[in-house]
Amino acid sequence: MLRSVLAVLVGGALGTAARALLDAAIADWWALLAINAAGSLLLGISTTALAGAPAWLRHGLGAGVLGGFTTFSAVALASVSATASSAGWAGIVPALPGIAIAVGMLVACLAAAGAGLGLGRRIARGRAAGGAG
Amino acid sequence: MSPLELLAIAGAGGLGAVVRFLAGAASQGRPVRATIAVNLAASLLVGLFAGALVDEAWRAILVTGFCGGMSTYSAFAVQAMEQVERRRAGHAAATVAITVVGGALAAGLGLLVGALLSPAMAA
Repeated sequence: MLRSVLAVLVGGALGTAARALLDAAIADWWALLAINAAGSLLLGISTTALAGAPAWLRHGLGAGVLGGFTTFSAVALASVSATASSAGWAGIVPALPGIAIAVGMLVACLAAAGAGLGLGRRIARGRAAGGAG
Repeated sequence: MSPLELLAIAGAGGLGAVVRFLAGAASQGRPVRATIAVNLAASLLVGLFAGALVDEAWRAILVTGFCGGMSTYSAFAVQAMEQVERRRAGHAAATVAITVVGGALAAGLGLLVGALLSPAMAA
């Protein structure tokens, strides 16, 4: 457990640093989309491909690096601020940019996570077949 | 962003990730609920910090670092897709709806409270 916590601490710091650097370099909503979609794909892959790996490694990579790399709070904030800055709080039309951010992020990341889970299973099967042969 | 700032952001993100991991460990086999709770809490905090903090460096450390590291999109997306794969489409829809709508409401509430607190903190 302590080893997992340490791995999550270090992994989370690395993932956060990578996100902060990318975010500063690109400074656009697309950076966040790319970060979260890539992180969801990689977490999907590692969830199924690394199911037999040591716990600290799975936790450090999954909850740590990829959990720290991706972010939900920035999306929630962006979906509200885009709304607030467009034309006040009233009406459904000013809420559209915020809704578009929330929905676009959701669709891209769910698709990436699903693809990742399938890809990871394929990798695990290939490794099992290779090990047996 | 100076190297020292990046280090502080990374450290805060690591701490946020540990908070999220411990919440999952304490959830007694309910990882989806833990992820929802952590993401909503981080969204409330991010609104609060973004609304109340003026200093750029502190904002980056707490918003990009701590709240960013504490919240996660990858675990949310993977857990929702796992629910879909287990043919729990209703559960998956609830996970998505509570997270996305709840997160926006939490961030909005945080911004509002943060803006109210801001003059008090400046004074």
